Amino acid sequence: MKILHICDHYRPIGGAEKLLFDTLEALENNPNIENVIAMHDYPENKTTGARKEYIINDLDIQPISWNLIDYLIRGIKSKKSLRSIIETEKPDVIHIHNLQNPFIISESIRKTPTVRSVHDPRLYCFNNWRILRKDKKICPYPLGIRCVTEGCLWSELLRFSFEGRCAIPKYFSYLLHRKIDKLIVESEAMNACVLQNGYKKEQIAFLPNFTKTFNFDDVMHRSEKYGNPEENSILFVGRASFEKGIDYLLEAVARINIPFKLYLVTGGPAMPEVYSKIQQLSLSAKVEVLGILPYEKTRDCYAMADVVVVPSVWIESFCLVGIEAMANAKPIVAFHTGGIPDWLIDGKTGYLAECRNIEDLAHKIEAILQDRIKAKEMGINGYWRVHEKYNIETYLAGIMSIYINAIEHKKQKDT
Amino acid sequence: MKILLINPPGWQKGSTNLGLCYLAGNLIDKGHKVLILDLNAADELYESAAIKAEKYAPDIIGFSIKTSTANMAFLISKEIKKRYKKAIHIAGGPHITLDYKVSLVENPEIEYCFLGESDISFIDFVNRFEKGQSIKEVAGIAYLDKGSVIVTEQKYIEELDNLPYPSFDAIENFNFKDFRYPLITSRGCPYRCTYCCVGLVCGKKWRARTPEDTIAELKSAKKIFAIKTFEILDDNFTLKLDRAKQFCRLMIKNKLKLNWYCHNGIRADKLDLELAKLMKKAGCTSVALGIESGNAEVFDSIKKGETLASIVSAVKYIKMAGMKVVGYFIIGLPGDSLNGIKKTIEFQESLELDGYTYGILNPYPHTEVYDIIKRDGKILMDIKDSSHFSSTLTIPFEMPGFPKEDMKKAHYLSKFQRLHKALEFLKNKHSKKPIKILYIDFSENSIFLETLAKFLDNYDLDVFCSPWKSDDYFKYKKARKINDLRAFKYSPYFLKNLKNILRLFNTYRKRKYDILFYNLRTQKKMLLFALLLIRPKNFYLESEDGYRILMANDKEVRRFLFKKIKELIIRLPKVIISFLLTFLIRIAYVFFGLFLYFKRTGPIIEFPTPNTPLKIKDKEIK
Repeated sequence: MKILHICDHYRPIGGAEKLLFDTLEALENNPNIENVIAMHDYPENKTTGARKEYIINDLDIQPISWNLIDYLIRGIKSKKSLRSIIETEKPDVIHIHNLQNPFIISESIRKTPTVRSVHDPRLYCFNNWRILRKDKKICPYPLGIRCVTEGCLWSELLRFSFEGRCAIPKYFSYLLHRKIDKLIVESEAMNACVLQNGYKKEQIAFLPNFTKTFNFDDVMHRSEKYGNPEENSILFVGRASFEKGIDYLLEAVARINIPFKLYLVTGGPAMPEVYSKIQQLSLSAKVEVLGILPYEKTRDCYAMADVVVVPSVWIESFCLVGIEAMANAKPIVAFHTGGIPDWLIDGKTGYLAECRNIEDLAHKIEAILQDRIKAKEMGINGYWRVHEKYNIETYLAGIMSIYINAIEHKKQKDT
Repeated sequence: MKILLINPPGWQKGSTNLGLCYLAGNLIDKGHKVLILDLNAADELYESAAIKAEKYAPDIIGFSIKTSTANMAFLISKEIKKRYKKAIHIAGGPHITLDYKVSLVENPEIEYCFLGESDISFIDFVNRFEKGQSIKEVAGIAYLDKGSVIVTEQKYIEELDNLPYPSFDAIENFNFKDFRYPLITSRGCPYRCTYCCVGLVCGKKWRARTPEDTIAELKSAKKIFAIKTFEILDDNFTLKLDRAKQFCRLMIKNKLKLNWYCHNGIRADKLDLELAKLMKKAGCTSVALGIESGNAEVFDSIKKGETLASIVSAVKYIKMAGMKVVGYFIIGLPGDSLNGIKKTIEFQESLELDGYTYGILNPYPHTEVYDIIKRDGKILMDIKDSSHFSSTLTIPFEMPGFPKEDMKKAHYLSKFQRLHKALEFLKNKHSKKPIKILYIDFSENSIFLETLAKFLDNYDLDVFCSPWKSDDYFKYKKARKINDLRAFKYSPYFLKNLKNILRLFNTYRKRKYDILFYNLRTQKKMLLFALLLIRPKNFYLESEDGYRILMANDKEVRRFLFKKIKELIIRLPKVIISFLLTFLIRIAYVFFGLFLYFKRTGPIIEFPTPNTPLKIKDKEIK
């Protein structure tokens, strides 16, 4: 089977991209599968030589300037480029990983069975993160009138800002996705969101993320090797941006009454705010910013941590960090939001705190730090949960059946 | 047999380990299976290398070791041994050739060392190992036997044309995008430069491939890898002028149309105008000369066997031929000092080179300078821990006339010589040292973060940077003594951006800076505002082609302002049409908003709490 993967970023910068690389590696263990990549021409995107890789100009095109005619021309060109790749490679199925370009979506679904992974609400939300612009609460509404009345879109349209300009292409992309053969959702929350926005039940395939698992003894040995019994280490791994809740975490740790050290494996647009918040809360001595690290080094951080915190305040599609931490036998404290309750069993693999409740988050982090035996037990429970549910074999079987269903669906549609 | 070859990290980024590719080519030619892990390119941790080695399950694991990669190589070897014990570990490369005794004794994981060129000896070794025959008769190896080091006779390859071409496909995940093909046309060098280890590693006897064979290799590379550029990596490319000329003539005759450059293996006294012109015609764009020192006494003491006058002539020939010329200089040669480096800089300036690089001397074991430093100076660290071709500065030794602090000063003086000159110029002009500095950095690649701030230690420094660079700046804020650090907060609204910039620049204006550093590589638009609003006494502009210091009332600055205003006036009709078109499109967008307003929508979601499950309410909003 030949699979054409279409993606914007082709380097492990976030959970979605890491999942892409893990998926490619998993698929390539099967000699009957050939992966072909089509990626956007970001300067940071580099071919790896591990598989056939195409770089397409404007694959992830957006109306950056007011000049929409230029946008149209470039969009049509990108469509043509993809068409020539499809004609050359003749893939059995196309897997779109993270892309909104309506020109590319329309070309993909034209003749080839197409599958789309839904990693975030960009598919049906004009401001991308499903957080209301007015009060920054999680938006419960589907795409439509509320986008206008809740202040997310109207002002953008009137100002003709970047997000305003993106609205019409995004709406086309939203409509085109209704014709896609399979939409892969990663959690119950995402499933509900997709259904709410008018996508058909039979179009949706449920497949949680997976992560690489390691030998139990090795994981425990690493925890002993890197862990510091005299320090209470808290770890955050994720983008520095509002939706990932790093602000809430800093506020929460400021309320913790026992000695601790918070390690932030992070980077991104909100870094200046993070630094000023650290200073403002007088946490400079207790917080260490480690920057963005490759997964190998992040694993060392997991091994060193006593607890991993996932303070996301948006509808997390799944949150790969959670199962990564569990694969490294670490307990987790997270806000009860999005796909997190799917993998975090409250009281067994960690604690769920009420979403955006800083006191609750602080209390639960402290509870884990104070009871090391319980924390270790939770870590081990998490480790086995990942082994059973979020392993490569389950994922591989799932994704293969999705591809096969998509091909059959396309055949039925054509006949 | 299954062989894994490892290039450990710690060397110049972007370079390919050609030695390993030659070995791979040779082994594949003889039917063996080879994989090269280029850890220097992949930025991977040694644990992941060990995991990969275990997965690949080779019979032999080979390490190519240079002095600055040695410690990491030994660490990787240890880690692999812990996980996978079935393979024997061997090592080769310049450092092993120079220091095989210590390497064998201190690293029991390494069972055999290959000295000098091992293209043939390694094949012999693999064949014997496969057949279970005695390995002790393989030429050019060293091993431990009951505690004592045994060395077999080393042989150099005379017929280089017989070697198969290097195999780059063997490198895991090799990036063929913008691939600069590395080419070797000869090996060895007969000269006795005191700091160089080539004679000890590749032999004093110079051996060359025929120009026909090298051209055939390039043709094949062009066909297979679609290369557009190549570089010559010889120890001494032009030792025989006629051969080098013949190579160029064949390049021209075969119409290969490849760009190339020669930053290795050119001696100033082995270059004439005819060769320079032929090189240019054959596609060579840039030539580098190892000048090492501009101080005549130091230059003579390193036994290069040429004169500074020959450097001057060679530079002239290269320029006359129309190629770029680059100079390599060494800080820390015996007899050199801070004043000596100042003389070298003067000499370098007189040459008007297109580029130059100053590096701290790396005293390779058993070279003449290594012995001199051991005798007269002081080794400050394990030479294997020193960096080479790296942005981090390490000074592994000091000499009586050239202490560590002076070497550091010499390094920064050579790296930022124009800035140093500019600051001196300002000091003389205003009769006082400039103190308050604002650095605006919106570029993708600025020299500031590397080391410039260290040079500005005694100044009152403020920085204004782009949000995507702010991480680095915040990280180094204390270390670089930045007083005021601001990252620009982008807004999706143009007017808000403009307001933010104007407000901030007004704050900067009140601070009255002596000098404004501005990086010209991006965001030129902001320069206009900076000039008009901040109004510093001087501007220091940093761009691709170098640095410039300008005064507020300089003609160039006024011309720039007039040009920008003129551009605005000329573009006015286009702006008006654009405005009208945008207006129409904006109306369409407003209609889109109205369309959404009247669109029927679906149910709302009640998100779960720890006590209530997720629900989709059936009630429609409209």
